[in-house]
Amino acid sequence: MIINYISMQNFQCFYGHHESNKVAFSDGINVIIGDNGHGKSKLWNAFYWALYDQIFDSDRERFVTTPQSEESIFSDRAKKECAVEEFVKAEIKLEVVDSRGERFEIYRTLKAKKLDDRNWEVAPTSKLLIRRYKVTQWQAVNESEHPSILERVLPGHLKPYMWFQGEQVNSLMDFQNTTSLTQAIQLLSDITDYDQLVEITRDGTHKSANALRTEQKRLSSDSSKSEDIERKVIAKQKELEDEERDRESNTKNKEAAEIGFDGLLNSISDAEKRAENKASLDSLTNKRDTNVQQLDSKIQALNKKLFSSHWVLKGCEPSITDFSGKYTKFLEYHYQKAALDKIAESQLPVDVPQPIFVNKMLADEACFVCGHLAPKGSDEYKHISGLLDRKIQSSTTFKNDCSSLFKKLYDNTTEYKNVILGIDSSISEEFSLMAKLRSEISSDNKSIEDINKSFGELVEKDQSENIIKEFRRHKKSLEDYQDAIYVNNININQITDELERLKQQTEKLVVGSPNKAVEATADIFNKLFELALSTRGLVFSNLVKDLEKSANDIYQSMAERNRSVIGRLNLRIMDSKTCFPEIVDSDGNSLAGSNDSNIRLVKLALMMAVLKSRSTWSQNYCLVSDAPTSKMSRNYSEGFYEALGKNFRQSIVITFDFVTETKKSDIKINNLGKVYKLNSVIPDGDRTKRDDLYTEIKELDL
Amino acid sequence: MANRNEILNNFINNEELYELSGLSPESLNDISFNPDPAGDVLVESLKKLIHSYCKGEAKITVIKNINIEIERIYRP
Repeated sequence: MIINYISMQNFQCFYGHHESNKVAFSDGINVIIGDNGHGKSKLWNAFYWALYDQIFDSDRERFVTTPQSEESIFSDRAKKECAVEEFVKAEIKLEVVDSRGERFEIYRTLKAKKLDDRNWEVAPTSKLLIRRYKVTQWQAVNESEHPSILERVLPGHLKPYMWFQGEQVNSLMDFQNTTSLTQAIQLLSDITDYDQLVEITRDGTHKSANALRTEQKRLSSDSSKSEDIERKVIAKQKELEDEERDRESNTKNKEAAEIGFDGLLNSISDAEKRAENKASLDSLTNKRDTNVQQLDSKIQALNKKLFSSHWVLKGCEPSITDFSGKYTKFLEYHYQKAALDKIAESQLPVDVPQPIFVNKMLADEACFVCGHLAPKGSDEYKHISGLLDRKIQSSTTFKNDCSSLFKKLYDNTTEYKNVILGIDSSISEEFSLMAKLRSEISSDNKSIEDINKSFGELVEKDQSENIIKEFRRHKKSLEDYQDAIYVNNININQITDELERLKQQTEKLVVGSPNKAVEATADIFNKLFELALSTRGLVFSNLVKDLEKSANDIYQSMAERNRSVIGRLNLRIMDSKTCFPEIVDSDGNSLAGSNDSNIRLVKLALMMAVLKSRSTWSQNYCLVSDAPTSKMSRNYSEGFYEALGKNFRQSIVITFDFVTETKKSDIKINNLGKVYKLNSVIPDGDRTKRDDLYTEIKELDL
Repeated sequence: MANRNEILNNFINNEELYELSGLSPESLNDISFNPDPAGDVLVESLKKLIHSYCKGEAKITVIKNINIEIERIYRP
């Protein structure tokens, strides 16, 4: 059905009566614009709650039923204003019109009683009321009709594809899942009818074959042999069924591996190159890091080397030579001095004559040694008197003899002379080693920079090894399953031959003419089964072909505003009669690395094409979507709106796009319907006070 | 459920029908769901299959109806 309007009363952020919260829609793209937190998702909830009695709980990130949602259905402001023991009522009113022009009003209501400031008694279920407009007035529709009317607003099988949130697009059209599109096709097309016909004829084939065998047994010339053959046939049929089931499962697995294999095929050569470069990069980085460590430790060790390698003695040779010369002279002088000391040792000792005799001699004024007189005041007397002032002289020659120290110094300098002579070459060797390390580091850095430059950020985020591993895994699986299917086919052929042989044996035992109708029935069902199977294949193949064309038309129309978009959608029919979507280049090669916006666009194009496959759907039902373009740039979004306008009679898009526009005419979209802007308002501006909040719904004028 | 004429058309446009029945495409140009006593047994059975299925009949009933149709044709 087409939606005329929706209005909310005290539902979530929509405080107040229906009149102040009404959004009317026309044909074309109806756009509801809103900034984050201004009620867009709550409006989406309003649609959803009215029809399905569920809301999306953003805290729990899932849909919850009315009882699970507790009092979150109600406006905080309405709850605040409600007096204790009074009731607050949340209500959605939706007016819809069917293809014959019949109008319906759908009301969903929930009440809650305020027990105190914090506690509420919420009604266990919401109430649904549907009214039909008859001639001049609205009349309530019997409850028994509710499900069928709701189903007419939006048939259940269309719901996931016509009422969706942006994030759901990925799971609805999961390109990694081999059955995702097939499921959509099965849900939205008549292909299941053909599947049913295949099933019926398969069953008929088994039943008619059994009936024929019974008839043949009845006419058998050897009933025990016929019984024996019958048992073998049953066993073989069981074997055949098992083998066919096994083949079906192997085929599905092979297809999954094939998709993975093909998807990686284009990436693999790049991945291998990247892996080689990654290996070089790892090795270069390791080498560079080791060299940097070596260089650092060498630089840090330079201080130690001053002492450990005696570099501190560099330039000491002249001093050593000088010292050596001086030491030689010192030694000569030392020896001379020591020799003189030895001579001195032969003279009288210093205390001879002893002072007691010297005093006696002075008192007697005569020298006892030579016998001369020494009158007081004479030179002789003075000489004798001078003997009293004699000091005891040291017995050693050198008062401070440094000869041992000088010798030690000399010995050391002699010992280090060769070391000192080698210091220059040692320093030069060390510094040339450091220079070599520096040069290697610099060269490695250059190579690393080159690799990084050529791969950009790719190396950092590199998945090459994983891609190669994954590729090899798919390749191995693919080969394994191909082998398994080959074996299945051989076994199936053998069992079929065996069954044919048993059939001939049974026929040989038949005496007389079997019932022609029974024979014909077995033959006809066999043919009908073959026919149903191949017709199903043809119909599916045509359906996919049409879908592919339609999706590509929509995709091209969406993408024409964006020059970067490349590729087209290819729907590949698999062996197991499923269909797998992929984005390919003009030569049909799978395109890896398409950006998120482009993938979303392709998926939306595919969804639209599936819905468009029945013109009645896109003409009779309204597509409602919350943030379908949330991951898209402006060009992509505009492309989406363009396609939406062309392919659907009515759509309602709740979006952040155009949030800066203030006039309807600023929005350059064909087939634009009504445009509203949502604005949540808190009177005193304090956004923490949610219980004062209400939402303004303003229609944008031209 | 698909339209029965659309389903029948899809079967008639399948070349395998001509191989299995030995009929020419031209001979099936004016085919309809009306019973044709002189019609080919495979084609008549097919018509019965589609007709009965599109009426929403159960699988067992559809098979039974085809059996009856074949028996009718082969009745001495």
